[in-house]
Amino acid sequence: MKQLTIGKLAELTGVTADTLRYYEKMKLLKAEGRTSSGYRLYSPNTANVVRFIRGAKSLNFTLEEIRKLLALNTSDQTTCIDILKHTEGKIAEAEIKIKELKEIKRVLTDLVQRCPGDDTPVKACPIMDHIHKAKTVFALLLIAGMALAAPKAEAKPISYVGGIMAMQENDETGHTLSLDYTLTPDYAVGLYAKQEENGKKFDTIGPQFNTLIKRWNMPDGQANIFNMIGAGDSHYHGDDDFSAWSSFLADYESRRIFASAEARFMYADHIETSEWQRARIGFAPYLANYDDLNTWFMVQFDHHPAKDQTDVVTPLVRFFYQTALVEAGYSSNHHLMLNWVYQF
Amino acid sequence: MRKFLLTMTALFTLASAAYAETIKASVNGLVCSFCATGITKTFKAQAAVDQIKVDLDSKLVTINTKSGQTMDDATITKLLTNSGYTVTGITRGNE
Repeated sequence: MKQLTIGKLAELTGVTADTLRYYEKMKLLKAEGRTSSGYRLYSPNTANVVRFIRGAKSLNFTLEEIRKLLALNTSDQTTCIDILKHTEGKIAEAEIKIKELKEIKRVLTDLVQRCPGDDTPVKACPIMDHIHKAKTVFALLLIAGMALAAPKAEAKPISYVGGIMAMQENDETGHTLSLDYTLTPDYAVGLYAKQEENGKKFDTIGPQFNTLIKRWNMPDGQANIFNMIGAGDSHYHGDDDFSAWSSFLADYESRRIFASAEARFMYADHIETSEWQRARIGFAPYLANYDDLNTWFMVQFDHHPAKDQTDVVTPLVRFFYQTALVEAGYSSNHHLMLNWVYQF
Repeated sequence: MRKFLLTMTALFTLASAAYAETIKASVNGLVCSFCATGITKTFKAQAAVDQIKVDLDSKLVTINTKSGQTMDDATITKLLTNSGYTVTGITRGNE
């Protein structure tokens, strides 16, 4: 049969050419070749693969899971049991979502029943009162979380002996709260909590141990290699599992230039095993001294093989003054970044 | 004679009370003021320290001791190392 151009494949499947290129980048599809003018050519069976992807997506399978399903589909060793395992996991997820939606419905029904539905002023409205209380509880949880707060890429994970550093990161990888205490010039201990969105969305909490592997102090710069290792509990839709993580961070900083690279590995039993890489480059537009406000313009690059969108770029601005550091940015996948670090 | 001794003791005490030291430590790696706040915090926690100044331009940490107090080179080097930096030289000048 005749090979399909990307346009024809898009027409046959109802999927845009951009999405098809993205599927190819994610290794879900493979072009068989190119036309003399450079256009991709696909086998006629690719249309069935695209329909399979769309079908699996409608059943809430992630692209990473779909890639595994496609690999299973083409393997001679695969049996129905293999597919069943994946599907059962999805059923469990759906059941949890149903439970959550039922709970939302129960609360909303209760609120509607409590609402007088007359001309009672809005200040006395039980629905608004409930939402305000929910916000208060969230704020209290946030403050409690901040009190936990372990620096990672945004500040060095080891400060000075006896120093305590609190950090909160909010970016496209999730929300992190960490707190570390520097024991010696080479070691720090901390508590690390993260609501992760790297493939799946799950929560992790546990102690973390930071080690300075090597430091180079130069007249006009400092370079470091750190390791962070931690273990604790990961929670995903009512499922708690042992989890362990580790990352290596290398950085170089002068008063004008900043560069860092970090590789992180996450193991959370059957919830998720993933890796993630981050790099940053930055420059200071002016030379700030010790007591000045420091300003940096930076670009952060994230690579998440487990996510639908594997590569994300975040331009950001960093300010710090004495013991407080704040960063704000906006990522290429439209997530606001807001990080802060405070040294006690 | 007794009056003379008392006067000398009083003068000696006054001289000691007025004696404070300014110590300058040259430091490598001193590039990030956010990271260097550890130096200030570490030295301010020392009983002998009156004032501490960090200057990124000259890469110098200046320590003013309290009257009648001093800090030896080994202590200064240890405190700066604990803050994450490498000491390349220490000079002293009395005020």
